[in-house]
Amino acid sequence: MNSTDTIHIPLTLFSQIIDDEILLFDTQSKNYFALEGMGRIMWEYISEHHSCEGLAQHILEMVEVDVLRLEEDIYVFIETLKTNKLITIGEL
Amino acid sequence: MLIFNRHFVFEDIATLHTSMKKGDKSINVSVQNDDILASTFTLQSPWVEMTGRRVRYYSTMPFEQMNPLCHTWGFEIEEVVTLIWSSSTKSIEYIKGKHYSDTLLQFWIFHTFFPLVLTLQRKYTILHVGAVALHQKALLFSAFSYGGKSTLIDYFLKKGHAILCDDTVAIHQKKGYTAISSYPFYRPYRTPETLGYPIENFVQKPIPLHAMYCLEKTVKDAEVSICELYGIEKFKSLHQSSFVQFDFLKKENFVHIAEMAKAISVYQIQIPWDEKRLEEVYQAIVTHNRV
Repeated sequence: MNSTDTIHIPLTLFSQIIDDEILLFDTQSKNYFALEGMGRIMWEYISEHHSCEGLAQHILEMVEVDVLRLEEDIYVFIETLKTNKLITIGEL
Repeated sequence: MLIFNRHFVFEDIATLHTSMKKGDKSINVSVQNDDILASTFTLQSPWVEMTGRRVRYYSTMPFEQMNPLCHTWGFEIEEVVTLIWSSSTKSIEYIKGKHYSDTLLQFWIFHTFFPLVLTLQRKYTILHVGAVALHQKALLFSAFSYGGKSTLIDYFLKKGHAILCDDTVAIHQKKGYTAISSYPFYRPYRTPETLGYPIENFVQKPIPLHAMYCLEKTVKDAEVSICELYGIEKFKSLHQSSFVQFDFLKKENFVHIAEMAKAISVYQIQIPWDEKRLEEVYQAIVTHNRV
């Protein structure tokens, strides 16, 4: 995917913050997912922007990490969300 | 006798009469002929399994479209009894089936039907847990089947604690969470479709909800230990205790349980599988809640 691609969150997915975690509940599969730390930051960003354009920069403003490693982590995170059907990419 | 903080008046069954206090909310229960089904309802669900019986629902419109506070719907337990809830009169009518008995009527209303009524009204969250009173606050116990819930409730009862239920409790949220007792019976044995023994030491009024303990069986010689759950583990423990989950209430239920998870503490307690060590488990819980 490209960083400018639109990211959609299914209407059947609900989220709540409990303690330090974002809890996602997929009512289709009835599975729960919890995101904490960097995963929570990434999820909050893509929920707000519907894209991961600027996500790396957003994280770099908060923590000091290797850029290439960060981009790889973002890629893996997005792929994991896609695999678990927590997001879809592109036009609806 | 209060059930979910209401007095049930069985109009046609003298043996089920109990005394009512002034100010008690009441639910009238009366017998009907079976022609009421055809004249009242247009929709009927397929049969589903529940508590070892086949059951089905009746309504005039899909459940998800019904006004939670103004509806009439029915619940048939195959060959036992059909129960009809009328929101406008806050009453239950029943039609006797081939294998009907007064005991089964009482069981199905208290154990299943009325918790469904409360769930559909969206005023309460019904949890499948045992609950006891400690320092005038409710402690909930959740466990998988054969996980020791009833045994622990029985032990608290023997130690002189009032109980809210050994099976189901209603949770109400208004300026904090309160726990409402279900029915004054407990069942320290496994027999289907029975409420169990009546109990005297029963919490009559809603009390604040303090915490939930998830019982985790361990080997006989293990240590009794308590640890707090956070985040998804806390949510899952509460969510898995939901009494019944209608598909159309999934979102509301998720939100209610998540809100509850933010407000109350949930702990996991390791319980050695040895009845002789119940005193140790009891003391661990009491000490954990020492004021």
